[in-house]
Amino acid sequence: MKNKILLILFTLAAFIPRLAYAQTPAPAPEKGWERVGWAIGCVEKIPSGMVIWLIALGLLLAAAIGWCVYGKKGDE
Amino acid sequence: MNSSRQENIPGYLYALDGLRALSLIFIVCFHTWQQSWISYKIPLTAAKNLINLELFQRLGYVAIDSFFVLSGFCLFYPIAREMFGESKFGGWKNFFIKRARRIYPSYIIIIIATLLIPALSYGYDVHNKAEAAKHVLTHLLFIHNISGKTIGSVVSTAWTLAIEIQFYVIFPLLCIPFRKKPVLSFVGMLIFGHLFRFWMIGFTDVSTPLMQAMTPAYLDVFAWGMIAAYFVVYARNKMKRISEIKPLMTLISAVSLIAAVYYMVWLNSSRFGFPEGFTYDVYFRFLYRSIFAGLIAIFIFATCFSCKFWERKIWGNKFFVFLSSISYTVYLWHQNIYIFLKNKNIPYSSMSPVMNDRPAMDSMVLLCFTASVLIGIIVTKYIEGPIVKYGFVGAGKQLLIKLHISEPEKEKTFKKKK
Repeated sequence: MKNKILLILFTLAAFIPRLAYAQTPAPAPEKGWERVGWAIGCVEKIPSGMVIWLIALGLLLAAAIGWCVYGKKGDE
Repeated sequence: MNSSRQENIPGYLYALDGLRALSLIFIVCFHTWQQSWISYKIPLTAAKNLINLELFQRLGYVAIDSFFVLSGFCLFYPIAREMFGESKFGGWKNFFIKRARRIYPSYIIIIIATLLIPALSYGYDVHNKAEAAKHVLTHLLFIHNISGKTIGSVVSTAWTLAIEIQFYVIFPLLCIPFRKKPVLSFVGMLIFGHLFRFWMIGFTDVSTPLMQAMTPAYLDVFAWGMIAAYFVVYARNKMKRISEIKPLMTLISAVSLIAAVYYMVWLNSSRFGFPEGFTYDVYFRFLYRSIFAGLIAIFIFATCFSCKFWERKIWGNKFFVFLSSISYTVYLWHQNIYIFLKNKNIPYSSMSPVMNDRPAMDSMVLLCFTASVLIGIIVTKYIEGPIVKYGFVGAGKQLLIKLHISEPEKEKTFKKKK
């Protein structure tokens, strides 16, 4: 049971950044969370260009939200 | 698919028409590439291309997700407006009547067309009455996405319509928690969508065409549209200073689109990571679909508060608004027209496969584009438009009046009381 939970957590952890290199195509495991992990492993690593643009987007959104929120306080 | 083309109505959003038009272009380009194998390139030198649109053609299907984000947005937008006192929602009965008026006319026309012209579809035998009845009935009830045999059998692109309609059915239930706790409900739908797709990948042997046609797998995509609608109305009412940062919002809108393009690059680079027999695009999008949906939602939100030039001249330009107005019918028809042209070998080609005959394929593409747009204009203007405006019965009465079969209703005159 503990191993199952760890497997699920590692699968989810691998899913979020996907910064690792892809594995060479391998036969799909039997059904289960291993298969989900295998599918994640088959995906190519996220392009650096996309990471840069996503970071830029995040910063711009933070700036916009910050302006709207702190700007309101400044007027009080 | 929902449209927001009433430009003079308060709350009209130019971004939606622009995104809908662009999404249609992407999907039509994908089906064009699929049917004709043509990749559009403008060469720079013998070895290099100035512009190579193959990536967008090959991966144009990702725009399906932007259609669902748009749907989630358009469905929840009137409710969000009611939440902030901008306008009244109009009730669920009215909601379903409006949806029926918008969806059914064009849909029934193409179904009838496939019955009369069997070459328009390749998924079912029109002459076998029992089989034809099964396929047509599942399509009319919008349940054709639950079996691999009926997906796309009558109207090739209508599996997305089944997902859409099934979402309409559960939408009123989803609005109950969404009205009270929009962010929490959004997170819940996000988690559910991901868990459902993980379950499909890891614990079922469902085929990929069927996997990608399951409505619960799109719950998070619709949720992105719904939360974007909520925040657009929220920002309009509670974040007045957002109107002071239009250049920043324009930049956010543009950057979100660039990031969406890089998503397509990422998807493309994952083509060879899966062993044979596994459809890489379905698996990839099952894992990372929410990223693209999120970028589209951010694009819609930011565009609504961007500079006028970006919002109205770029995304609200007349061509996009026109294309958006006929997008539903063009979407329904274009793939079936390709099937018809290929079944009938129009234009004629002796090559096998016919996709190797470039001049014939160029002509086929032109024919399909022209036919799709013409049918889109005719159906939208003369059938769908009157039904949306007057209702089914009212549109029928208007037609009878125009054909001089019946008299127009006399205008009531009010006499002043002495």
